[in-house]
Amino acid sequence: MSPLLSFFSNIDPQRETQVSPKVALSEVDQQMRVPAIMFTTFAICWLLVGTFFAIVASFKMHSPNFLADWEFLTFGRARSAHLNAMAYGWSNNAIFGVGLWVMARLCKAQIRFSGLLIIAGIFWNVAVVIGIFGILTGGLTSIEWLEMPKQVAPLLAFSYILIGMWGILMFRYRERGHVYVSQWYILGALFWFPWLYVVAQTMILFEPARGTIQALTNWWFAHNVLGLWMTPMGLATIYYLMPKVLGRPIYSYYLSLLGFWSLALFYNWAGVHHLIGGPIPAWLISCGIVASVMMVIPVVVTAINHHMTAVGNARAVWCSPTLRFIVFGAMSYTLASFFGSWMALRDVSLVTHFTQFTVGHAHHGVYAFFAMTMFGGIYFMMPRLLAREWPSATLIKVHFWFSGLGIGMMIVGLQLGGWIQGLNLNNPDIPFVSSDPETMTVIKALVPWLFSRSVAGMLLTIGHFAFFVNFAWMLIGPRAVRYKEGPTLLGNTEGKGA
Amino acid sequence: MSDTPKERLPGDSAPYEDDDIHIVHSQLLREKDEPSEGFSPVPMLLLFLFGGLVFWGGVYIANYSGDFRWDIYNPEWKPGMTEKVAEKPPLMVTGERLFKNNCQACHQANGAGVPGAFPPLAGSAWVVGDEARIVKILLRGLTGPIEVEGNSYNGNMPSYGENGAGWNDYQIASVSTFVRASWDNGAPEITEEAVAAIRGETADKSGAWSGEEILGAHPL
Repeated sequence: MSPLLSFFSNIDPQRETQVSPKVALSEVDQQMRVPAIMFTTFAICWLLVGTFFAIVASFKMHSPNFLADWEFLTFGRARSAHLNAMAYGWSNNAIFGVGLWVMARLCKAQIRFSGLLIIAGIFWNVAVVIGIFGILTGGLTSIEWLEMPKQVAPLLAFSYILIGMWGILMFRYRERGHVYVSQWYILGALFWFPWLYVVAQTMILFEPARGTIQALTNWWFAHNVLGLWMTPMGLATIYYLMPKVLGRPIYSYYLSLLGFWSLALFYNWAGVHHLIGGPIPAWLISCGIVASVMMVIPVVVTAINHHMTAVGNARAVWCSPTLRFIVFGAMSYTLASFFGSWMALRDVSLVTHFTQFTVGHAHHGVYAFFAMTMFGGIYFMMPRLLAREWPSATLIKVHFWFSGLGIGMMIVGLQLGGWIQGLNLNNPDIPFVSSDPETMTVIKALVPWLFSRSVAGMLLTIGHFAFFVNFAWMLIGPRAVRYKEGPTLLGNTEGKGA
Repeated sequence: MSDTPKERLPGDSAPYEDDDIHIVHSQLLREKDEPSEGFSPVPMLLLFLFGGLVFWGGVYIANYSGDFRWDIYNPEWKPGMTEKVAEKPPLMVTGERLFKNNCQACHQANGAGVPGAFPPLAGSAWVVGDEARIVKILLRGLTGPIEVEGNSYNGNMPSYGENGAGWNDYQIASVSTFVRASWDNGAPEITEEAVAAIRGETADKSGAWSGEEILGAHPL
C-alpha cells in the first residue's frame, strides 16, 4: 500500500476494527489515557479548592468574624467561589474525564485528535481560574450559578464546544450496533449543556432580556445544569458501571427508555419552582410545579431499574470501591429527587423557600448523588487508564465513610434546621434578631444547625484529602505500587467485583 | 506503556490477540463483559401510578393556570372571578410620596422654596385659587422670569407631562392636591377628571409656559 493510501485508510473513521472486544476496550483506554487523567487531576484539584472556600463560607455563617479582615474572602465572594469552583471546576472536569471515557468505551470508536481535547481542557481550566480570580477580586455578577465575570464566558463556551463536539463526533463514528442507555444520556447532555450556557449568558449578561425574564432564565439555567448536565452524566456512569462491575445485564431496556425520555421531557420545565411566590405569571409556576412532580416518573423508573440490577449482590457492592460509591449515589438520586418534587408544592415551598432547607437539598443532589457517583467512576477508571491498582484500600474506606457520613450529617442538619427556620420566619411573633439576649429569634434557633454544617464540612474535607492522597500516590507513586497484584477491594469477595 | 513486555512499534499493524492481553492487561481479563440490557416488561402497577400522576398534573394545571394569561399572578384566580382592580391610594398619600421624591429638593419640605432661586409653594397665590395654573405648569413646565409673593425668580420648572416625566392624570392630580392642601394653603383637591380636561385643552402646546402666558389666561 502506498504511504498516501495507508494514511487515508488510517484516518478513515469507519475503518473496520478487527480486534476482540476486550482488546478494543484496552485500546480505547490507552487512547483516552492522557486526556482522561488530565481532566481527573484538574477535577480533584478543584475539589480541594472548592472545599476550602466551602469551609470559609460555612464558618462565616455562624462566626461572622472569621477571616473578616480579608476583603477577598468576604462571604459573598467565598460562597460564589465555592459554587463556581465546584460546578465548573470539579464537576465539569469530572464529567469530561469520566463521562467522555464511558462514551469512548461504549462507542469503541477510533479515538482521534485527543490532543484537541487536551488543549480545550487546558483552556477550560484557565478560564475557570480567571473566573474564580474575578470573583475573589470583586468582579462577580449577581446571577446565581453564573457569578464568573462575563468576560470569561466566551472562553468557557469555546473550550466547551471543542470538548463537546469531540464527544459528539466520537458518537458519530461509533462501532455500529446497539446504542446503550449511557450513550443516550451522554449524547443528550453534550447537546443540552451548551444550549443552557449560551442562552443564559446571552439573555442575562450580553443582551439582557427585560425584568423577570432574567430571573426565569437564571433558574431555568441553574436548575438545568443539575438536571440536564450533571444528572444525565451521573446516570450514564451508574448505568455503565453497575452492570459492568456486577456482570449482570441492566434489568429492563423498556424502563431505561421510559426513564430517559421522561427526564428529557419534564426536567427542563422544573426550574421555575425556585420562583414560587415571585412576580411570574401563575401558569408558568403551575407548569413548573407539575413538571417537578412529574419527575417522580423518571426517578421511580430509574430506581427500579438500578435496584433490580443490583439486588442480591449486596456483598459484591460492599466490597467494590466503585459500587459502594455508585450505589450510594443512585440511592441519593432517588431520595433527593423525591424531596425535590415534594418541595416544589406551593404549600411546602411556603416553608422551605429562602431557608437552609434548599441549600441542604442542593448538596443532596450535587454531592450525595453526583459527586459520589463521579468518585465511583474515578475509582473504576483510573486503574484501567494507568494499568496500576489503587495503593490503599484504607484510604478508600476513609474517603467513603467521611464523605458518606459528612454529607449525611450536612443534609439532615440543613434540612431540619431549614424547616425550623422556615416555620420561624413564617411566625410573626418570632423576631429575626433582638437586642434582648433572652428572646428567641430566628437567627438564634438557626445557628446550631449552621454549626453542624461546618462540622460536616470538616468530615468531607478529610474524605477529600484521603482521596487526593490515594490518587496522587497512584499517579506518581513508587514502582512497587505499580506492580501491586490484583484489584484493590474493600473486603473478601470470593472473586466477585472489581 | 512502560509495563509492556513486548514493545510494539508505531505503525505496527499486526492485530492484538487475546493472548497478548493476558500479559498487557491482567486487569482487562478480570473485567466483565460490556453492559447489556434485559427486557423485563414495565410493571403494570407503575403504569397506573404514572397514569394517576399525569391525571393529577392535568387537574392541577386546569385549576391553577390563571387561564394562561400573562397578567394573572394569583394561582387561585378563576375565569369568572371579578378581577380586583388595584386600588389607588388616596390622592394625598400618593401626592406626599411624589412630592418628597420629585419636588422637595427645590421647593423644600416646608414648601418655602429658596429665596432668589426656587419660588415658594406655601402661601403662594399661584397654587391656590384657579386649579388650571398649577396643573398647566406641571404638565408643560415653566420658564423665564416670574414674580411670586413680591420676589422675582428666573428659573426653569421641568415638565411632568408627555414631554417630561410622563406622569398620568392620577399622579398630576395627587401632587397638585397635596401642594394645595399642605402648609395652610387650604385649597380644595384637584380631581383626575379636571387634570384630564386641562391636558386635553393644552394638547397643542409645545415647550414650557412663560409667566405671562399663565397669568394672562388665569390671573391671580
